[in-house]
Amino acid sequence: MTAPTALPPELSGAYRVLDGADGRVVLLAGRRGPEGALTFPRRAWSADAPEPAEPIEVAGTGRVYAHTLVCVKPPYGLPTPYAVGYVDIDGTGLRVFGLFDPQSLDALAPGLRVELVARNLGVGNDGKDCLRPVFRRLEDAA
Amino acid sequence: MTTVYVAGTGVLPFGRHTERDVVSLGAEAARAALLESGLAPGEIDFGIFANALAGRLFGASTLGQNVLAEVGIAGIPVLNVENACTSGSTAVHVAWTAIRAGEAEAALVVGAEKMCVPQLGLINSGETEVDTLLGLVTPASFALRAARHRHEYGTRPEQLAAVAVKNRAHAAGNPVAMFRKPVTLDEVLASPMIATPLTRLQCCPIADGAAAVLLVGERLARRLGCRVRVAASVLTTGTYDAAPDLAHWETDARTARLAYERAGLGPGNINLVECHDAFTIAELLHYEGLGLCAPGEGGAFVEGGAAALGGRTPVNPSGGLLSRGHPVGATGVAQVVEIAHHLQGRAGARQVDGARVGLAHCMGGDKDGDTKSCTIAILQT
Repeated sequence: MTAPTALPPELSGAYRVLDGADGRVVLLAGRRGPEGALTFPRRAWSADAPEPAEPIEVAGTGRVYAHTLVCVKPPYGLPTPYAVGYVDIDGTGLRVFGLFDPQSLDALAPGLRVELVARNLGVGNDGKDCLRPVFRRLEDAA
Repeated sequence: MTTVYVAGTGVLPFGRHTERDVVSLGAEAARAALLESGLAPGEIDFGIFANALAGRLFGASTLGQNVLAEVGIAGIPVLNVENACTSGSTAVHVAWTAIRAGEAEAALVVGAEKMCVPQLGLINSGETEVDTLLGLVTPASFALRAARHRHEYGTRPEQLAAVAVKNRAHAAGNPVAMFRKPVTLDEVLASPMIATPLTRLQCCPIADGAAAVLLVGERLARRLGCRVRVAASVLTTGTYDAAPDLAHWETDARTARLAYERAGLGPGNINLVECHDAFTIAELLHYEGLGLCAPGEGGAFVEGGAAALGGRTPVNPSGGLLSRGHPVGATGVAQVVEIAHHLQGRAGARQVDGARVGLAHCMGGDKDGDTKSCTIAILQT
């Protein structure tokens, strides 16, 4: 069996896996007008701009805002338990929802430094193995 | 604009109705509301049916026409409403606006749901949503709020569990509640973990059920001798900010401000509340959002007994979603029925003595760390 190489289609409009960057993932954010605040996921239109919002790539580093361990039978073949939460993305004003790396669960706490990477984790709506973006503890990157 | 009154109510016991379908449940509740009102089916000029899941679970659509036809109502405008957990309360709101606008004089609102089926699975915001693909299930979105509330205010697991204990005690006096056996704090905390820190007894059960309310304008209210009026009804959505604040529910507070303003009342005037306690942390956040206590004080509010029957502002005397059960499309209607029964002085063992003003609050759906829909109706005698 070969490892999956792609995000599910529902996620590929919101994230991009960087080539040759140890699986690091960037967020595809949008902007509310030329000088407006960032939005994520990107919204196609903003109230004060005539053109569709262009995607803006944002590095996936930040600090944990809140997290929880989900202990019920997991969807999409995720492990039991799995952790999800919100991360404040550095310098953007964005607080984004995401999965946490199963290898980083013990360290999770508000304020923990994390970065977004791609992991072979679970399946997509088509039932096939897929990549998912997960936040891992930043010091685990080395 | 005319004032809107409650003319009739109907509610079925919430729980498992294995042998019945959504139409049968809805029709029984509708029939009860009609009989209570004294109106004939031919006098109803607007029908609204609320349901959230029959399309997904049974491939059904436009069931409102089927439900109303069962009780002899046809040939009038019928609207089917899906708005997640606020499907029922949104239907009530639409009926209220139609009567206020003079487009209807007697609007029958029915909410019904059948969830106790094997194909239900986990409830989420939709399989194409980014957050769903990343593992967001409904208990997790509330557990994250509990985690953040604890981080900012030190709210303890025992304070969260106190909500479940209180609502189960209330449900003991409600013959239509799904769970009526009291539970202890230890039992709540020791039940299986669902999403930290929320245990199973802090999560509302799925249920089958139905409720109906018949709203009328002033002319019919005089004829029927109605006493309970809708002082305000508000429907809002979340704002989906870039950085959602999980420890404070701005949408709650904004909706409450609008409702209080339109009713000319404040939180101090409210004698009882039915709110969307899908999870214990939700009720605690609603205390704060509705202005029953200050931000961060929800834990102390419930722990000190202020939200219990006999307390300063009883919350969820029905047992709430946690103990009465949560058949999604029926819940928002059942909340209004519960408030009406207290204001009419016929709520039995759980009656809030001397109740004259009650508030029904509901929320539905997740989007970007906020709710998709929020409703508040204030009823008054």
